[in-house]
Amino acid sequence: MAEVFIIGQILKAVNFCEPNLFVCWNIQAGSLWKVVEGESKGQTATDRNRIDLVSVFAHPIDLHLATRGLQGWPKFNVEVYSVNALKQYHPVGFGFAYIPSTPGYHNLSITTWKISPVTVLDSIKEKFFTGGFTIVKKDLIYSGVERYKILTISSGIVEVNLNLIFKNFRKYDIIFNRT
Amino acid sequence: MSIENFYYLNVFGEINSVSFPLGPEAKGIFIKYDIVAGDDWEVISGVTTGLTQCSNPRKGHDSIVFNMPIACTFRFTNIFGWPQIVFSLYGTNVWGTEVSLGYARIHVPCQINSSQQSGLKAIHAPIIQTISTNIWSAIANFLLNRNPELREPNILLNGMKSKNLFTSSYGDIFVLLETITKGTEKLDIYS
Repeated sequence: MAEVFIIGQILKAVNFCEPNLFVCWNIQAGSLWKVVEGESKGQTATDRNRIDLVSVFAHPIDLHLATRGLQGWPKFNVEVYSVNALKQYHPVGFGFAYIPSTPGYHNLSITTWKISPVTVLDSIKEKFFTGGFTIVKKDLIYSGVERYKILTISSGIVEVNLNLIFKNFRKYDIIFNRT
Repeated sequence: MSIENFYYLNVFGEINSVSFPLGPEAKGIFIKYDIVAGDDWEVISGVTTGLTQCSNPRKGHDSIVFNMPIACTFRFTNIFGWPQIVFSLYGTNVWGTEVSLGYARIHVPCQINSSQQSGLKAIHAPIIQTISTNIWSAIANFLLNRNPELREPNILLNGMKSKNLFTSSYGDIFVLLETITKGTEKLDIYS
């Protein structure tokens, strides 16, 4: 089977309005793919920078995937949550990025969106870090079929560094672009 | 298993310096580093752990130079469990006690049969400090000028164990690393 090794880190979350953030991430692939070793999902620590409005995680990722076909190329999904002073959390960003199709080092910047507050009261609640809507169906993050009529607002960027190692791709005649 | 099935990875480089944008909050800063790899990895030469000297910054400069060498050779059968390095920073505070200044973690540069030109990787890793979530211990720590420590810094290397950890990031550590691999040429591995 062709194998993909994903080694890297979730470096930081930038441009968010909220100070204390953590990221729930998962790597999701089609039914032909399977996880051989490693964790395909996780949650980072809650971080805030002492100077800038940025949350740094340096959260490690080490995953070994194997596949019998190329359909359902893996995606990297993130959900960013903000924690307030009362230790309550609410979502402030959803986003995904496809795992790059070339081996080597990649720097992904995942731009995120969140559900926009509709009423004035909701936007006041959100301003004081106590509100925020979530989505019931988490597959909205990575699928494009039921997104119509959802009112969203753009949010910050999650930066992910990945090293990809492809094994046995030549053996199965899979051609990828060498950088 | 025959001998050809082993791959070799030689890592060498240095811990160059540490910088805190608003200056360090302790004197005589030193770093303990630990190289940790997965189960299918075996160290065949070099050391995986070390302790630097206690270094102070020059007046007007925010970088604290260590120039500490790191060199280690691994033999491995599986790419999974690629080595990571965890750095623990300590310093002496105003009361003269040694306190934790935070942690940093990196992956060893990951290049196998790479077409990228230079092998030297300059890595800026952020320094992450644990903070207490309990208000009373936060006050006590503030008065005593010390920081909470991780009993086992290696949990930072495991993606499943950092949940519910509260941290604050300040400063970064500058590491220069090079890698050489052997035994991977004949294999169908690209990175």
